[in-house]
Formats: sequence, C-alpha cells, structure tokens
Amino acid sequence: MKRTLRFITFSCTLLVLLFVFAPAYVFAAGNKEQAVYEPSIQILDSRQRLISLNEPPERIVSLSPNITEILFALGLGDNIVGRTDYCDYPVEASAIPSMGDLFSPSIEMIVASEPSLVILSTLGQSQTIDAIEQTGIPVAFFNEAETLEGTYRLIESVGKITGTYEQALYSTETMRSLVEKIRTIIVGLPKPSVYYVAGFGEWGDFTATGDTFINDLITIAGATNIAENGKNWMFQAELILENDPEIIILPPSWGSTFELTHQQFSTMEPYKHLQAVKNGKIYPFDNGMLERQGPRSALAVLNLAKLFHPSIQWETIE
Amino acid sequence: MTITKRSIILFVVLLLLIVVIALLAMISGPADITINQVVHILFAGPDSSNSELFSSSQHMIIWNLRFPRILSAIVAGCTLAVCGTVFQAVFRNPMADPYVLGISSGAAFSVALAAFFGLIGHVALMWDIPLAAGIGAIGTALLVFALSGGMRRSVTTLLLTGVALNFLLSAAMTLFLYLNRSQLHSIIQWSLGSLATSTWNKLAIMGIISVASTGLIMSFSREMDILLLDEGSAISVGLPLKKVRIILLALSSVATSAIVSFCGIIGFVGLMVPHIIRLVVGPLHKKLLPNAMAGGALMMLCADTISRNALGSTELPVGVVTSLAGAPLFIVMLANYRKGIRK
Repeated sequence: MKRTLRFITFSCTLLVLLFVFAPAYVFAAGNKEQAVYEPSIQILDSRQRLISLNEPPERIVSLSPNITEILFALGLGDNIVGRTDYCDYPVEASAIPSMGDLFSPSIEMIVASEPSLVILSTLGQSQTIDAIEQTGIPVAFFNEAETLEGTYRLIESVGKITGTYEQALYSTETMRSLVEKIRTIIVGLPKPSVYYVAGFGEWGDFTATGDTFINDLITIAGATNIAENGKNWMFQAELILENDPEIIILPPSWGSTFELTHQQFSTMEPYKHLQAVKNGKIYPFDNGMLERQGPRSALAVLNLAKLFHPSIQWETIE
Repeated sequence: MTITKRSIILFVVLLLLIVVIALLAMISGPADITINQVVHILFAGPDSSNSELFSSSQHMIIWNLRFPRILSAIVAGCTLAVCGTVFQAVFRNPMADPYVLGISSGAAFSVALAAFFGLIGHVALMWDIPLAAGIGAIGTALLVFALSGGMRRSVTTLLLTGVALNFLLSAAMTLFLYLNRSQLHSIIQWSLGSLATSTWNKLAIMGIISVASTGLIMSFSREMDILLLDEGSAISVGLPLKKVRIILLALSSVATSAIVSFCGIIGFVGLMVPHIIRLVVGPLHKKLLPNAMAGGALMMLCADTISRNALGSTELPVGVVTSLAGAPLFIVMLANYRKGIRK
C-alpha cells in the first residue's frame, strides 16, 4: 500500500515536471532562433560577445551615468529612451524616463521602452544582462580599464556601436590634446601631496586608492596621491596624519552641501590637525566629473591641475 | 469540522488564491499594459507577437518577464516551505528553517569570494552568480555533514555544527565584502533575494530540481510524522531512522540550494509558513506538506508582486518584503490561536 502510494506520488511528480517545464523549455529554446541579416555594425564587447546591429540604434537605454554622458557628447541625446536614477548630467538627461537604480533596474521598463540597444559600463550585473538578452534586445557591456586611456577606448567603442565613430574620435582627440597641453605645462613643477576624501568620520576612512580612476586623474594632473599604494578604497586615519597632505579634495557627502561637509571635516578629530585644514587648502569638486569615465574626464584633469598648480596662468590654454 | 475536511478546504482556498494573485501579478507592473491586452497576449500564445491590440514588447514583457517570474515565485515558495517543514521535523525544532545547515551563508560566502577574485560581473560566463551560489550551498551542506560525523552522531550535533558554520561563513563573507567595496552593493542586493532576473531557462533548471525533490519528500510524510516522536518509539515501529533522516536532509538541501542559487536568500517563508499552516491543519505531514506548499507559493507570489510594484521602477528586495509583511501576520495568527485555546 505504502509502496503504491509512493509510486503514485513519484509518477505525479514526473508528470508535473513534464507538463510545466517541457513547454517552458521548448519556448525558451525557440526564442533563440533569430532571422539572419547582414549586420552593418559589429563589435566585440567586454564579454567578448559579438554585438551585431543592422543599423545605428535608434532607441538606446543607458544603464550607466558615464554612458549617458558619452551618448550626449556624441550627439545622441535624443536617441536615449531610458537612463538610471543616477544619470544627472547633462541636465537634459533628467527629462528621460528612469529605469531604476544601477543595481536593479526594472527589466520590464527597459523592455517596455523598446530599445534597439542597451549599453552599460562597469557596474553591470551579469544576471540583469542575461535577463534583458533573453528578451532578444542586444546588450553591449563595456568594462574598460579605470584609466584615462581606458576612457578613450570606452568613448570610441560607444561611438562604434552607435554609428558615431567619427564624432567619438574627434571627441577623444580633443581630450587627448587638452591633456597633452596640461602635461607639457606642468612638467618639472613640484608635485603637491593630495588626499581625496571618499568617506570620513564614523563611517570609516575611504579614499581613491591607487587602483581607482580618480588616482589616475590626480597623477596625470601633476600631484602625488598619498593613498596611491592603497587598494579597494580603504585607508586609515593614522596614515592621513602621517602623510599630512598639502591639499585635500572633499566632495560633498551624499545628500549634503560642500559647506556643511567642510565644516564637519575641519572640526572633527583627527582631521582638524591636518595642515591642509589649517591652511584652508580643502577644495570641493564635482565628484560626478571626477568619478565617471566619460567626456568630462579631460576637463577633470584640467580642474585638478588648476588646484595643484595655482601659479600657472591657466587661462591661456582654454 | 474534522481536520481532514479543514485541510482539504484550506488547500482548495489556497489554490484559488494562488490563481487569483497570479492573474493580478500578470496585470500589474511598472510597464503599462491593460487587462484587456494581457488577456489577448495570453491567448495569443508565446510565439505570435503580431497583433494590432498589443506591441511586441508588451508581448515580450508578459511572456518572457512576468510569466517566468510568477512561476519562479511559485516554485521558490513551495520549495522553501516544504524544506522548512522537513528541517523542523528532522531536527524536532520549531526554530529550524531551510538555511539552518548553513546553505544560505555558504552560498553568500561563495558569491562574495568569487566576486573578490573578479569572477562575477565581468566575465563571459552568464551563469556566474547561480553557479557560485550553488557550489557554495551544496559544498556547505556536505561540509556540515562531514564535520558532524555524518549521521553517526545525534541530530543536535548536526544542528549545532550548522549553526557554527553559519557564523563562520557569515563572518568570512563580510570580510570579503569589506575587502571588495566596489561590489558591496551588488552582493548585498543579491543576498536579500530577488526574482527580478528570472528567465525560462533558469526556471526550467530550478523547477526540475525542486519539483523532483519536493515530490520525493512528499512521499515520506508518514516517516516524518514518526520522526516527531521520540527516538525509541520511532525505532520500535521499525523505521530506519538514520536512513530516512539522511534522505530527507539530502533532498531538502538540494532543493534549497537550487532556490538560493537562482533567487538569492529569501528569508521567513521556510521558517514561518509551516507554523502558520500547522496552526490550521495540525502536525500530520500528509495534510501539512501540501498545504505548506500552497501557502509558501501564495506568500512568495504576494511578496514578489509587492516588491515589483511598491517603488515604481526600482524593485524592493523580496526577502525584505516576506519578513516585513509576514512576521506581523504570523504574530497576529499566533496570538489569536492562543486565545482560541484558552477559551
């Protein structure tokens, strides 16, 4: 009796399996068959996946703030049909509907906006990419080295896949020549020591360590980042005191203003003892411009160089 | 009303509710699709997406996003509730849940470790997270078995080994998360549980594993009743106690691992659903298991529908919803039940 019951349960299980999942599987498999065209745009993305498009994408969803900036710089602002909550530059971007945050954008909203291409950079999540691709929408994922050179490659890749390679080349050439000018001007000048405040106080000390994009920009702009030997944004207050940087860059804390953050920082133990605090050499900085690998990165180098080398007549190069 | 009758009525009610909520879930979401369109899309079938009544992207949203997601919620809920029931019976402990052997922290640790070594997020491999989580989950379950001397010692040893390993792996995971700040947010998001990236392929794998395991578990309902007695009585009715325990634990560990791999760590369902159902139908597993299954499915379906719709374009982690909505419900039910007994 017991044996029969077990047999029945088991067979029922198998039946359920067959009826629920076989159609599902067939359906999923059938989805992959796509008509074959002669694609006009082909590019390998950072996953070494070949992205093929028949024509330049008319409707683009950008899932990274720096991609949004690049698309606008390439004159594709009107083609963006979706962005993330953090895509706040240029101001025109805020008129585009948001698909959610960087980590869990709404896949449903992305599909509903009927994009011909989805582009994202470093913060991409493989599971999200997979789910979008399952619906047949091509996804390009560009994960370039976190350096200025990587930024040029990123802009050029975005140019290639959107059919605006000429503009992209022009854009990176302009950036390159600006950075080259800055380099020749600051060559031989003394390098001030710099500390970039990514977090401080009760939450712990975090900074742009040697493995970050910001470190690359600081170095190119002719300063020494006191955390260049650190890794993974981690640092310790002790080391800030020991190195006692000449210049401190302090982006406003999240949801706060520079004045408020500055006041907190310069009255707090142990930071108030730093020479930069005493000499008033704490500067605000647009952290969007500094953090994002995009068209404003060369400008970020220029603005940093202005802080690091105030004796130079910078007006001449602009 | 007899318990049997009550159990059947509850099961039917739960099934009806599942169907109703599933239909509700089908018509709600951040994308604008009317009920009328949903009906047409569903009747059009998965393949024909050409119609004047709906766009092909709407067809895609219903058939490729909402449909697999709703089924995934049902499968995950069923499985977690059944596994919770099994762990509570095997350990004879009301605090036991599917993660008591360290499966969840093992999976989370494995994902954090893989992320630390750069294997997550920017590799060609698309199944990175499920694979890492699955290896961590199954590996941890095996480790707990090995460390506690298999089944030769008591279940308490097994339970305590699991608890200890849970702490160890959680600490190790936190360490790797801390060392890898750039992916902190993504991993925490994963560990809170989400069905957002459900696809038919994932559902097929997860479904086959969990339906097979839960189906087999169901056939052990009589043995699970006996496990709740003391060991002497269990042996005296001729039950191969150790063998049954091992089979049940292995089956539910595999099923839980499958869910954790694809959906992250969804708390509360596996712990509380069996208790809620037990309040109504009593402790006999023949009645408890099917109802727990339906109850778990219903709860997950509700929680996932809330998590998709509560914040517009941003999703709430489903694990947060299950606990936030489920715990008060459970407390109220528990209080009412006690009142009923006193009367």
